[in-house]
Amino acid sequence: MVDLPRNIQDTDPEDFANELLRKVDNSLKCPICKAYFDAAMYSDCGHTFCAVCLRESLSVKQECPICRKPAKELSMKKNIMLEDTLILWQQARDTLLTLERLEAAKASKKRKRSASIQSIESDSNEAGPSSRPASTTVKKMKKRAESTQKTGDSTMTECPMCQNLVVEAIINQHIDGGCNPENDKKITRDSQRAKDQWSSVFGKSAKRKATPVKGETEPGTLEKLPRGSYDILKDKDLRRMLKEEGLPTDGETEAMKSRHKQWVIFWNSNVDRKFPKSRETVKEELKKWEREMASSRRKRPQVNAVEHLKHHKTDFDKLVQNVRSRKPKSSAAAPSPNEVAEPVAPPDVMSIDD
Amino acid sequence: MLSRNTNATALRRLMTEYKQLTANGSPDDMFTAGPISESDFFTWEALISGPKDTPFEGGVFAAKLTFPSDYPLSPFKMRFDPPLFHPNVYADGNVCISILHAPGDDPTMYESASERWSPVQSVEKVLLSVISMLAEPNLESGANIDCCKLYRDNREEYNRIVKASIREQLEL
Repeated sequence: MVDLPRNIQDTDPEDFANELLRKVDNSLKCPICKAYFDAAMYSDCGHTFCAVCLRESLSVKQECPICRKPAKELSMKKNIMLEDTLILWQQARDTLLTLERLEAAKASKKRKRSASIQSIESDSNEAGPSSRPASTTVKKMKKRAESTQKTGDSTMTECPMCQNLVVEAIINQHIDGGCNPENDKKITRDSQRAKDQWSSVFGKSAKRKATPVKGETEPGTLEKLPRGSYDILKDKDLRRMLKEEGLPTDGETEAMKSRHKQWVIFWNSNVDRKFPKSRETVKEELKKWEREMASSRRKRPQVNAVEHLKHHKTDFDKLVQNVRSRKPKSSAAAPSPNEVAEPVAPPDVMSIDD
Repeated sequence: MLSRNTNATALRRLMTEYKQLTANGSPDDMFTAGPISESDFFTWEALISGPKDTPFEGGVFAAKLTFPSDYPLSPFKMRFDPPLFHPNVYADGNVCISILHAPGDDPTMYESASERWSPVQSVEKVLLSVISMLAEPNLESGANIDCCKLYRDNREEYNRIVKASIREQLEL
């Protein structure tokens, strides 16, 4: 089994059943890393990415990854509004997922309910409305008005089946449930929960301010770093620059260069965060990044040259044979530039492909 | 092997792509793609069905996709296994297509920048490009020069060889 890193399990969300909600959810994810925007930023064209993703991409090529218009790191700007929206969305997301499930459960109940209402209507038609004395109807209506009491914010009403007082809002489910008071309690709980959740989306908790988590640094106090001109720097300068940042100074020149380069990307992106992480946290991230890169680099040269030769021996032999069989021809006639590019006969090509 | 130090960003991105591919499928069911084994999310296998109205019609072509640890910053590699007889496929099966070339290097020197890899490209987009490449080879950046010449000078023979290779493959 794959033991997935925790952060992936955490960010791998349960998706919405509703296509539109799913689209809204995905629109708040970075097109590069496909996770929720981490310090959303855009360049001149307006396409938005995570600060780290965009910086890394610009370090390879100075263009927008989507529209390929020229883009420079210096022109990167924060998308503050999107970031605020994202914070609110993440708070509302779980609630919306729960609500979606509740709605789905309700919808399946509703289908049953509409069937039972039809049967009630046909019952009353059989009895005939005119056959009932007018006075009783009025009395009944009066009685109902009296019985409609207010308890809290839920209006009570008399159930036409069992004549008990029931919350008006759940009267249909009450009848569906066979006038069982136990069932009523459950329904009330469910609808109350749904109501609470809607109000948590749009009411009190939506106003709740996102407060910086412990370990995060107050924004506005951090400064960005300039990129080094790594190609002209000497080891001595690199070590000094790393030391100034409090980073390890071991390893080869290339390792130091890429360490400082990535540190600048990580650190500047951290400064762009709404709630920047502490220096120590970013250092840990850099350490992790370096470990990942080192382990993947070590993997590659594992292709042993001897093994490679052994493995492709037949291919090489075939190539040598091909060349040898061609030799007498080219030595007989003076080799013209056309002949060099002359293809092997198609059947030969097929045998190579096979 | 999936080491603990595997790049988390690359892994998350690959898992998202895989999830979307399995959930939505591919347009017209032209291909499927996914990791070969659960222990290595960085090696995928793709199955492509030959596009209609081309000599490749009726064939199913398997390819191995190898992802770098800094994916999606760098593109993945695609290799048909068994190799495919096509102007833009090397004899070892590697695919030569501009969308899989990093913006930094330009081995063929005439690819327009708009066709190159960018981190917002995806497995799905690349495979769709490869499918359209099967239908319309790009002779400007040939990988199999013999096949290029054959395609240009003797299309009938090219079609015959391709079809024969598909039949051979299906009979196996």
